[in-house]
Amino acid sequence: MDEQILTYKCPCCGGSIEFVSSLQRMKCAYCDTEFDPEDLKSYDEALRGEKGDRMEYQGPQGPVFTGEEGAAVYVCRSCGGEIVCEPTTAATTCPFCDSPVVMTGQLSGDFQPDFVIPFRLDKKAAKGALENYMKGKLFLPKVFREQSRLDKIRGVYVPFWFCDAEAEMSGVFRATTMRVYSDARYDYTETNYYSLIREGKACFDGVPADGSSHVSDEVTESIEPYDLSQAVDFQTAYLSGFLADRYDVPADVCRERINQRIKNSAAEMLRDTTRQYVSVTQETGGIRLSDGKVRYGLCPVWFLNTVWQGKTYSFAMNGQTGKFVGDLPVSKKAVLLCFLILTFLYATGAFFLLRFFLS
Amino acid sequence: MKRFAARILIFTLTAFVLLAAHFPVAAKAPLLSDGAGLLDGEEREALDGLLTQIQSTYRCDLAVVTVESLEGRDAREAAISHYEEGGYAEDGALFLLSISDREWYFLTTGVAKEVFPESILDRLEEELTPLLAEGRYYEAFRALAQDFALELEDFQGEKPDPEYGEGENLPEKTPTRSSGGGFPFGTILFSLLGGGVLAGITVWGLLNGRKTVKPSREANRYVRPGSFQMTANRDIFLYRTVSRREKPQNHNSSSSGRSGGSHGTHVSTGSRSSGGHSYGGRGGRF
Repeated sequence: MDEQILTYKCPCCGGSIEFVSSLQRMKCAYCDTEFDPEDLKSYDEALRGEKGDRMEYQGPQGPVFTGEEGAAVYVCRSCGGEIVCEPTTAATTCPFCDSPVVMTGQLSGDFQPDFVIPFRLDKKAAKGALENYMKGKLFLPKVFREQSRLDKIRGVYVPFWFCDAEAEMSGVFRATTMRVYSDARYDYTETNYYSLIREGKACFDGVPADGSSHVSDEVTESIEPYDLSQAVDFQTAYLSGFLADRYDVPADVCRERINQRIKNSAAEMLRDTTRQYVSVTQETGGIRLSDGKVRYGLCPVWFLNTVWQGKTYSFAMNGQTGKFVGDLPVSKKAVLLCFLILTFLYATGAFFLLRFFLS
Repeated sequence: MKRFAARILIFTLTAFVLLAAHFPVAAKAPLLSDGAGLLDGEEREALDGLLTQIQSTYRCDLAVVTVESLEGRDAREAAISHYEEGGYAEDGALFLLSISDREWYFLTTGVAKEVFPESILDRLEEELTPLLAEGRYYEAFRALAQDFALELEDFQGEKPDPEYGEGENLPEKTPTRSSGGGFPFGTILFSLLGGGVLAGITVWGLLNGRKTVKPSREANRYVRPGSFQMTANRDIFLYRTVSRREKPQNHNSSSSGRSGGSHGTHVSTGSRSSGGHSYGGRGGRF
């Protein structure tokens, strides 16, 4: 027969604690802190009952991408020219006759997307947004403003994995409140320690992660969200005139990123219920997903990459909502010149002001 | 890039220093300040020229200040205050006269303190008190200036200007050194530091907002509205700690009262350090 062995540990110092009959309370032999037996029992039960993470999904995971190496070669049906592209490229334009080309084999069968969000904003709108973004930005190298550079902006359908799930979350927090008071001789600081038990549930819909290794996850997360209510059933016709890739990062890899985001959100939602305490630290926590579903879709993005001084700067615009992101480089020479000129002007003004007030 | 930056930096600093050097910091207050109106225009002009001549010849400031009243202050404290606020040189003296209090104080510092020991201060007091009592203020101030110059001449071995003597129709002379003024190192340094900080803040503001790529660490916007529910919410009290700190005890320090005003014609002298300066001097009534 299994014996269940229970030992109580001191929440203050971690030492073992005993029941002191003279006090009728539990007392730690190491730090002398006293506890009510019932409170200690509840705290211990909460810690023991804490469940770990369980985050699984159902639905199409997509066939395992074998990571084909080398380039794929196609023949243009319009001009017969040879089109060389990545193995995952699903749509492009012929470099010879500029005809839009769709590689239907990349988006069929197990690789067929569940839906596509069509482009709502055209190339003109994308260029306008980029010009607006760079307007007034000092210290920007000239190459970024050249019209010929802006014309190279491209519309790309980026493969995304979208996860839906119902989440049950739990957490145990250590929190404190503080009270300060004084008498004629001393200033007192009273600190009360609490254990907070929190459990809740929430539903997450359409948490995305991009399934392409050619696109930076940070860039695609920056242009979120996409409005899935405007998604339509996939048809290759939507891709014509744009570039497109099928996924090369399978769902189970993307799920790691999605699960972490859901976990962070769950912890934040539970922590929001502890705001009345001075300090709060999480001791344990877990999240369990149910009804997890995975969907595969293509989302529109306008891209422009510019290489400057050996570094690539990416600009991206959500082709549905118009949200624009991009880190702009800085010309150090221009910054230094500006700094010195401003120093001279401010110092001159300060000098004459000092003379005026001190004289 | 480094050579470009070095050239621009040298150019900026040189331009600023050359510009600032044309505006040396002058002494704040004039050498003659007749607040009590004891002198007429000609006397003021003559005395001012005499004091300027002394300043340029001996590199030592002698200031003469007349006021209506000390307003309850000690004459020596008032003289120190005038000297420090006036921005005068480290080597110098100030003669303060209060017409309503009928009190005067001759304050010395630096070299002037050595030039005017007790014996010479005795002589000075004997010479000035009768003149002040008779209301012959210009003569008293002129005598003071002449004595000051003679004592400095003996001390430094400088030969006075041949035309110097009566103190009127003073020759034009370019000061060999503008004591109390000079190259404003401190002001330049402070201005550059302040300018640099402001320029840094301005450039930082211009550079702000250039990074817009920010990864999302959470999925809050994907929570279905109204789906979040708390299923358990318990707060368990564990224990309490109380710490205390003894309040500092207030010790009453006895404040030293100021010495009262002099009751005779003679006010005891003494050295007092103030703001790094040590002062000597003599005061009296008339």
